[in-house]
Amino acid sequence: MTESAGPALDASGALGAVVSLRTKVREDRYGHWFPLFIFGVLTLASAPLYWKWRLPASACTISGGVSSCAFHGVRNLPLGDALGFRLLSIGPSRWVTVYWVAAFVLGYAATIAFSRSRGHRVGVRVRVGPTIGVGLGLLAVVLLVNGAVPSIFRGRVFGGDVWVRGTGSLLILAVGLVALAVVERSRPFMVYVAGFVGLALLACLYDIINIFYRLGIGGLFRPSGSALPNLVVPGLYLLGGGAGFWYASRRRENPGGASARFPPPPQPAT
Amino acid sequence: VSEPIELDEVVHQRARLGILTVIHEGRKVDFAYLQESLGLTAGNLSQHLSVLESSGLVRIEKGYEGRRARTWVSNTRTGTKALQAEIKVLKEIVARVEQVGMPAPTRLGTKPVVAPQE
Repeated sequence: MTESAGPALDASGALGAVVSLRTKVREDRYGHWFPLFIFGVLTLASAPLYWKWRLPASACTISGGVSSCAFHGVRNLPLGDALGFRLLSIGPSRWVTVYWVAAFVLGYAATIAFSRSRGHRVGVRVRVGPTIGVGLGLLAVVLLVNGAVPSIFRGRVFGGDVWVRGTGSLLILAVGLVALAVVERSRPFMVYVAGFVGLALLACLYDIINIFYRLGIGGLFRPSGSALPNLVVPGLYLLGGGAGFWYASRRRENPGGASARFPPPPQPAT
Repeated sequence: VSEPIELDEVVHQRARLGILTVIHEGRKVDFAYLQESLGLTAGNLSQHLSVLESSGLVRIEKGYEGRRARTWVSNTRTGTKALQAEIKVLKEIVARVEQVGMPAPTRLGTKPVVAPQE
């Protein structure tokens, strides 16, 4: 080996080591299964509040047993109700609002506690501030628009069809998870969260019970639980993701082999 | 003639580059985790951390959790920039070597690398 061959090996070797070290640290610090799990549980737990949920008759048309709902059909509905946080005029319970606010606070508090605990155990503390900031910030904006300044927006709804089913909280949750995915820099997690964004949009824009009917299982939720699939499907998706990422995390923690390490200094040439 | 590549002597060292890489991926990283990840002795790691701290590239916090003493290390903004600059330099060196099909003329970590003349 010539003497000048050293630098090239050093540079590319150091770059490779940086990449493998970075991968190892990311894998060690990942704990994103927990927010998926906790918010999956909280989403499923909200389902009883949507029992006997139905959209106002003016918002929906039924053709061939398939319902089709749109916000423009709803009359005299304040934006706050449309966002799904008050729901007094179209929903079954005002407690939906209270529930989701409490669920977000509880979910994020649990996520902070979990990430702190995990950081102490593993030795790598992570940034959860951006995720929680985005999630709670968006929730605050929605509540502000809903509660404090409804008169400004009354009668004008932005993306109205998105909110008509009272599942807007899923979109807020989805945005928070996107922020988490960006911070975590995990491709599998980003892909999974992208799937949840799509599912949250579907739950806001479409009656998922229609799919169940096509599959022949719509009767499971009939007649009072026709809104439940819009909560149950995203909730199960989150729970499934939580379980999957937890399993992957366990496998990484118990690999049965040596962990990746920064390579030792090169041995002198003989 | 290509521009010479400037190297930061503090960062351009195997262990210190590793330290900056690890702590860049977390908000704070435990001393023991750094030691395990980099395969360094406690004394060796302490020395490298002192060099990085005196250059303003890392922040070191010592404290207790219960009765257990723990040391947490975090990146400073300068440290983040230094790491990014070092990685950029390494990529540039590799790119130049691949471009001319021969290694760069000087050994890394001793003095600025001068690109081969066209």
